[in-house]
Formats: sequence, structure tokens, C-alpha cells
Amino acid sequence: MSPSTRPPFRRLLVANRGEIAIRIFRACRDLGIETVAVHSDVDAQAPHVRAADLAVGIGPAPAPQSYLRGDRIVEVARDLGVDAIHPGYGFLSEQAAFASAVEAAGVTFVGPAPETLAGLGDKLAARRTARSVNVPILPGTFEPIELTDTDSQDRIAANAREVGFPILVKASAGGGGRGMRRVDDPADLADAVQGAAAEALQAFGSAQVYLERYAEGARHVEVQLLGDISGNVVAIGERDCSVQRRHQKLVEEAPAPGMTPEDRRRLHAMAVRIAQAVGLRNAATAEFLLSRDGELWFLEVNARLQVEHGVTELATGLDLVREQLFLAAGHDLSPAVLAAAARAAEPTRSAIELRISAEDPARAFAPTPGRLTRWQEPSGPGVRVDSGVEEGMVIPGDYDPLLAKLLVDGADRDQVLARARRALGELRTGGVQTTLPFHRWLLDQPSFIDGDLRTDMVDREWRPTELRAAAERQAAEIVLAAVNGTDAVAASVTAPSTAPPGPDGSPGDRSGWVVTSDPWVAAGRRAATERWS
Amino acid sequence: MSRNDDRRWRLTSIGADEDRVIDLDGSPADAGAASPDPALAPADAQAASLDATPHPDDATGARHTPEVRSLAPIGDDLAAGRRRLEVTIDGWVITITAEPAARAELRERALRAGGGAGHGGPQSIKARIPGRVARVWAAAGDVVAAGDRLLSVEAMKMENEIRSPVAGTVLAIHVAVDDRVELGAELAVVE
Repeated sequence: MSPSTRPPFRRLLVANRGEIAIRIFRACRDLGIETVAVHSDVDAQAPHVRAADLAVGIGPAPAPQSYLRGDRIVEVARDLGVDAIHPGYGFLSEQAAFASAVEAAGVTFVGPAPETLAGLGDKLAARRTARSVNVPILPGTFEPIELTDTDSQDRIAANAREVGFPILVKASAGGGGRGMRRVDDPADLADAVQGAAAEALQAFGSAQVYLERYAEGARHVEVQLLGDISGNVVAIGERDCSVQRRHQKLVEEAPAPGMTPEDRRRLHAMAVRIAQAVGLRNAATAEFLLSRDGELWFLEVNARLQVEHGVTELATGLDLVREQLFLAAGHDLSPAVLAAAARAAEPTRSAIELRISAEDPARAFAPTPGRLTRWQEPSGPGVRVDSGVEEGMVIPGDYDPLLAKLLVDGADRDQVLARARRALGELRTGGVQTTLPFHRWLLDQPSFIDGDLRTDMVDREWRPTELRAAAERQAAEIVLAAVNGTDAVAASVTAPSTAPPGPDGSPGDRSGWVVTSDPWVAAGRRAATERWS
Repeated sequence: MSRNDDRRWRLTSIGADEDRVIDLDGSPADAGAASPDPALAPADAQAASLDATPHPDDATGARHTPEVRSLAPIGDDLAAGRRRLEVTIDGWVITITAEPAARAELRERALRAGGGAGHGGPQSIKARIPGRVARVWAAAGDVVAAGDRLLSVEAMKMENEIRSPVAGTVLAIHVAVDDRVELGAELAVVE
């Protein structure tokens, strides 16, 4: 065995669940690393548990009592002789205290150093870092603002006038859109500051907020970075993640459409400067806004593997988790990574990721936990599905609603979009409303097809009421025809199954439904009608 | 097309919430996220039966072959002769309840004889998603306006405010902060 293929670790624990745990286990299996899953009570039978060699229960369903119990996870790692912990994304992934505890236990933390995490977790500190290495940032404050008395109110109002409206009030410990408020009218500023601070305190344990100019109509672009312990940092490509709702991403693609090689070099160089300034080792992502006239502003660094890392993998041919593991074990940046970095400004493949979540896109993307009675994943050329669910399982309401990531690649963006439409048509769901209808709509939007991307696109253009109503009308016709026996479908809709209902009164297990209408039946019916009419 | 009256069914509810009703020829009752949520009103107040007007196959523009599934009965579905079906079209998951037309007419007649029920009377507010009670604003005895916040349920990192569907008095709040609630659990009663 050559040194580069000797497994970097013997036994690795993933402090996470769902699709990302399975994704990391796959990389481990490729490398011959034993895997350990941890799980909450409600996840005892979850797919990620069965995907691992060993599994340990760590507590009740609520995350603070299980997946956020860093102490318990370190204990499990010690007991099982684990030599590395991968935190995935979310949960403990960016908590410096957890990373320190892991290292103190003699276990390798797969991610940036605790000091780097501490520095980058504070968005205000990241803003100051960017300023120190001459990377442009949006107008805003560099120190936390506090609303205590009338004096501070006047000071904040003065700050805001300097920054200029519209303004975003942001939590310095924030993420996922929490503790964030947009303010268009100076009169609403005090309320927004107070609201954001309260929300930030509840969500992150810190009420620190700051002001930043809101960039109207901008795109969200981000750069994938990798660093080694010798201090080498490279950018291996960028992603566009402009399609968002509530400041959370729905769709990501690589490369970012419409950028020239020069644009890319400039963007990648800025990201590398910031990463070097904070001593990045392992994987991180630097996020930027790109204005409609090409201006770039640094937003923040996420010091972990991103949800959307897969599009960069497809565009570059790298396995980022594999690279993370070797970097964590002290290896230098691999020849494959260096080669990808050299090609990063002139990408030769395209990829997209569509997040399939348990959310109702007709009801402002409200969560829809419940039993997934139907789930069939697409396949075929250019299609990869990173999924954490299976048909028949109950999607718990305790965690993130992400079910699966549909990843598609191709030679260029047109081919990718065509393949993505095909794949969405093959994805079959039932029992739980998902974001699937949104994605089907998106891929037919002229602005999206043209690559005219902006972060407020969903708010401005997504109008689900008519789409949903049309589907309901069609559903009503199908059911009426079926139950009244006026349609061929009627013959194949069976009586309600006797499967026991789920504990919540939801439909029973997968034997509780019957598929009645496949494409061949439909086509045959249409032909027969035409022949006789 | 022969329509045997013995076999005629009518649709009593359509929609993800199962208590939302649309008119097949009109627009949906729910005008989107910005409007007050009719799903908060109890099913009986909203129920209206539907008769289908056939559309040409392609009128809806659907390219995703629809799938129809029979759902297991819940509550008194079996006794009431109701059937619940789920249709998936273009990724929309739509639950439909069908009831024999004869029974539906009987029920409506009884309702009319009862003097226009559906208004007044205690309204039960149920959990539309399972989750954890994050906040409780109202208490028994409070006088509330339609749209006032009663409590909020948190699931999947999002908080869902539950507002009063009517103006009236809060008769009961059945949950407290940090309680875990199941789908369909009664949270509050307003009259």
C-alpha cells in the first residue's frame, strides 16, 4: 500500500445524523476506516445508524439532550477507542469548546483548529479580519451595538445613517438567518435591534448584534477552501447559492454562472487571504455577496464542511471528506487538490444541488414532519442523491428538515438543468410535503435558466397559490373519477388498507398505500379515448 | 360515462391540512402565506362539498404522472363511510376525503335543521405539526381578537405562531412551554 492510501484513522465517530453522517461514513468505508454512529432515542432505527459499524445511543430526541451533548460524545469516543471525530455541519461543528474537548481527549477533531473556530464564529471578528487584509466588506459597524438607554438609541441611529438603509441587523454569533432583521425605515431600527438581540440570545446564547448595509439584488457566491497544517491554503472553486428563503439556501451550483476567469481569480484570491489570516487548516468556505455590477463584499467564513460541498466535488472530481480526513491526520494538501486549485478559475464541469426538505413550499416553507410513505430516488447519468431517509420512516420534528440532496452534474449548465428536470420527474414522494414542487418550478423560470440570480428571487417570484390550486383541482378530478367509477383509475384504487395507522394517526406503514397510476396506464388510456372520440 | 347514483361520492375536503376546502371551479380558499390561515378554523365550519367539473387532461400543465394512494382511515372515517386518499401531483402531496353523496346530503340537511351551525360554539385549535411548545401568550379567560397570538410550536428549528381563528374568550390552554405535542393534539379552545 502506498502511504497516501493507508487509512488516516482506524476508527472514526460522526457526531451528527441524517444524510451528512451517511456521506462521511461512505468516505470512511472507501478508506477502510471503521465507523461509529451516535443517535438519539428517536433515531435508533435511522438509516445513518445502520450505515455505521457501531452505534451508540446518546440521549432523548431534543438535540440539546443528544446531538449537542459534546461531553457524552467525547465519552463514547474514549470508550470505543475512536481516534477521530467528524462533526458534519450544524450541531457541534463550529463550537470551539467541543473541538478543544475532543483534542484534549487525545482524539483528532476533523475540522479547523479550536482557535480558528472561535475567531470565525464571531462574525464581527471576521469582518475585522477581512478589513485587515484589504478584502472589501459591506458598510457597517465593527463593534457590537447595544440598546440600553436613549443615549445608545441615538448612537445607533447615527451609526445607521452612516451605514445607509436598507440595513440588516445581524447577530455576531448568528447563522441560518436567525437573529437577523431587515430594516428599511429608520423608525423601525430600535425594534429590530431589540428583536434581533432577543432572538440571538435565545438561539446562540449571545445578544451581540451589529449593523450591515443590505445589498439589494445581490448574488450569494462562496469559495471552497482547503488548508493544511503547514499553512498552505488553496481555493478549489466557487459556488452560487443565491436561491434562498429566510436566508437559508435551497439550491447551489458550481461554478457560479456568468463569472469570467478573471472574476474567479479575484474572488478566490480574496478568500485565500482571509483563510491565511485566520490560520485555516482543513476545510472552510468564505461567503461573499456579488452585486449586479460585479462588486464583491465579504460576508463570513463557515469553518466546516458545507451542506453543499457536493457540487464542488462534482465540478472538481474531488472527494472533499476524504481530503478532510487526510488533512486532519496531518498530511499536506494532496496533488489532486493542488491540481484542482490550479484549474479553479477555468472549470470544465458544471453541477447543481437541489435541497429536498420536509417543508411546504405553499405555506412559506413551514416544516412538515411526519411519515414518509413514499420515497423513490432518481438515478441515471449525472445524478447523485445524498440521502438520509427511506420509505416508511417517520421524519422527526426535532431536527433540520433536510431529507436529501439531489446533485446533478454535466458538461455545461444547460445539460445540468436538463438532467435535473429529468431527475426531479423521477423523484417520487408521498405522506410528507416536500420542496419538490418548488424545484420543478424553479428549473422552468426564465431568470433562473438565464443565470440571472439574486438572493431575493424566491421572495419576489415564488407564487405557489395558483400552482397548488391547479394540482388540487387535478387531484380532485382524479379522485372523483376514481371513487365514482367513471375512470379506468377506479379499477385500480383499492379499498383503504387495514394497515394500522401510525402513532400520530398518520397513514400506516408502506403497505397502507397502493400505487394506481403508472405512466403506461395513463398513456394507454389516452390512446383509447382518442381512438373512440 | 355512466354515473350510477348508488356509487356517487363527493369530496368533503382537499388539501394538505385536510380541513381546507377549495371550489373546483374557483380559486383556493387559501390565498397564500400572507392571508389569515383558514386551516386554523375547525373542519366543520369550513366543510363544503364539491362537485367536479372535468378539465381537459392538459389544462393543469402537469407532466408528472399523478399517483393515488388510499390512506388508512382515522377517527370515525370507517363508521361515517368516508374514504381518504392521497394524490401526488408534481410533488404536491394532496389529501382528499370522499364521502358517499347520499350521506353528505343527509349531513347537510341535519346541519341546516340545526340552525346554521358552524358559527359560535367553542372552537378547538389543534396542532398542525408535532413539536415542542415554545411560547404561550394566552391564558384561560383572556379575551382575544381574531388573529391574536395564542402560543407557538417549534419544529425543525422553526417557530410556528398559532393565532386565534375567532374573536372571543380563551376557554382553555391545554399545553405549557416545553411540552411536546403530537399532530392533531388539542392545544386550546376559544369561544
